[in-house]
Amino acid sequence: MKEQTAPEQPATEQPVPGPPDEQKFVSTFVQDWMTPHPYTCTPDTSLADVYDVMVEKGFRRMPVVDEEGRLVGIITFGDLRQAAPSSVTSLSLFEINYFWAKLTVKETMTPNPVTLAPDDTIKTASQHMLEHKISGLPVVSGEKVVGILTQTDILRFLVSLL
Amino acid sequence: MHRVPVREIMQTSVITLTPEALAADAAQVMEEFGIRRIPIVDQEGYLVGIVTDTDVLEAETAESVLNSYEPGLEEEWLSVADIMTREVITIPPEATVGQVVSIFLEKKVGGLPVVEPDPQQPKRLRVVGIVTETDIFRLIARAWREHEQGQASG
Repeated sequence: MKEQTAPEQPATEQPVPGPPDEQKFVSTFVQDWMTPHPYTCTPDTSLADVYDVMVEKGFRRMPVVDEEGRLVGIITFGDLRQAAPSSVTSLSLFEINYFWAKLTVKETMTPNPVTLAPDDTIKTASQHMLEHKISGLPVVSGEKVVGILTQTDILRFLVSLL
Repeated sequence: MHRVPVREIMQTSVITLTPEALAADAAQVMEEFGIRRIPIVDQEGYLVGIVTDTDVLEAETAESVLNSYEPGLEEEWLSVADIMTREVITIPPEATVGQVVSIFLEKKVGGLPVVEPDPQQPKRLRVVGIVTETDIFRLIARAWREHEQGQASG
C-alpha cells in the first residue's frame, strides 16, 4: 500500500486558534489572584513549628523573612520531607524528636527565591512556574513579601473563565 | 482547552507500590522520581489506595513514630498500608480537563489517578494514567507557544 504523504500546510492567512481568552491571561495580574498577607517564618524558626503551621493551614510553602520583613528565602513542604529524619535511621526515638525540633529553617530553605511582582501578568507567572518547575511563588513589592501565588490560584482563575 | 479529554494529557508511565512496601520506600521513590503521590495497587494491579508526600511526612515526624512505639517491642517499620488513603478520588480517561480542574479545586488535591474498571469486575479499577496540576499547566504553555508561533509565522 502506498504511504500517504502529509497534506501541505495551507498558505492562507487563517487565524490560528489560541488558548481561549488569551487576552485575559495577559490582562489579569498577579495581585488579583494572589493570597495577600501570607504567613511567614524567619530563618531561626524550627522545622517542627513550620511543619505544624503547614499541616494545620494546608500550605505547601512559606516565605522566609528577616527582622525587617524582607524576603530572604522560601521553604517548602518538600524541603521538610527531605530534612525529616527517616523512621529507618538508627537514631533512638528521643534523638529523633530532639533532632526534628532542633533543625531550623535557615539550614533547609532555598535562599534568593524566584519572585513575582504584583503587576506581573498571570501569563508571566505561569511561565515562571513552568520554567523553574515550581508550583508557587512569593509576590514581592520593594523587598517586602505582599502575597503568594500558586498553581492552584492560576487554576482557580482558569475555572473563572469557563 | 477545557474540553480536552484527560487521556490526551495524562502521564501513562505511572509509578505504583503495593501495600506491603515500607513508608520509607514510598519516601525514597518520591524523592528519586520527583513525585508527590503514588497510587497503591494490589498483587493483581487493582487500585487499593494512594500515598501522598503529606502521608509520608506525617509518618516520619517524631509524633507518629513515638505513637507507634511500644517499649519492649522490635521497632516496627511503618508500611504503606499503615499510612495510605483507601478512598481514592479517581477519574476516567474521558473526563475533560475542565472537570479535572474543578475536582482539584473542590477536593483540594494536586493530582488524580486515571482509572478504568475491569470489564469483568467493574468495582476493581486499573490505573491507566495519572494527571496533575503540572500537566494542566503544560497544556496551557503548549497552547500559548503554538499561538505565538502561529502569529510569528503569519
